[in-house]
Amino acid sequence: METAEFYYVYYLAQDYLQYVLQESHLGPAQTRVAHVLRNIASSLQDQTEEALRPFLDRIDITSVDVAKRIFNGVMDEKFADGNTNWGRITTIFTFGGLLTKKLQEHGVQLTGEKKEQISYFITEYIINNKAEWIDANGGWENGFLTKFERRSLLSFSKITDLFVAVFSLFREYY
Amino acid sequence: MPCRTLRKSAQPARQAVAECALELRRIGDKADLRQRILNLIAKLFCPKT
Repeated sequence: METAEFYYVYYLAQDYLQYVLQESHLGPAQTRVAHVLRNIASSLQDQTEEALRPFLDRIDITSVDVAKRIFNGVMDEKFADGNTNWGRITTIFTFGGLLTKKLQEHGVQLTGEKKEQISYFITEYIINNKAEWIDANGGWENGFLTKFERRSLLSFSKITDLFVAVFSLFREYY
Repeated sequence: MPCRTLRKSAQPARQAVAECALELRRIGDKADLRQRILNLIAKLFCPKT
């Protein structure tokens, strides 16, 4: 029997995959964590696709089973150095999204069942390998949200504007 | 030689997996560091947020 924690992550994975696939019926995220995850993971999606495309093009991802094998192999290798942080946790979802898009590109009909299977193996990996780290680092609400929710209040563009304003002020007087 | 064929096709896949893992690690670490810096700046400039 799956735990409440499992279903929590399963919802996040399912919501993010639907978001990445731009499903028309998808409404606003049901939780703050899902909302922030949509924003953060999708902000890395293009960059990830560009960086990984040359390597993924060498592999025929023609079924959910193959996608699962690749996913687990990449995740094991990614965390093999023993380090975990919220940025790396976010890229678990980004990579899941990328594999889903790859399956679609290979002509795999992404039925509800297939999307559930993909969400399931993403969740399985997180629960079996990263749940302890997530708990020890504040969990989704107090760890992930605390770290990434601020971004909406102070973005890089706002910081750049601030520095430009200070620099202009200096140039005016010195 | 089916074994040899299998080994031949498994090699590029293994390499691709390793390269993907490295790239993802880099992207994840960069995003984490960027957020750390943003949060630090936010603490300095807007201590109430």
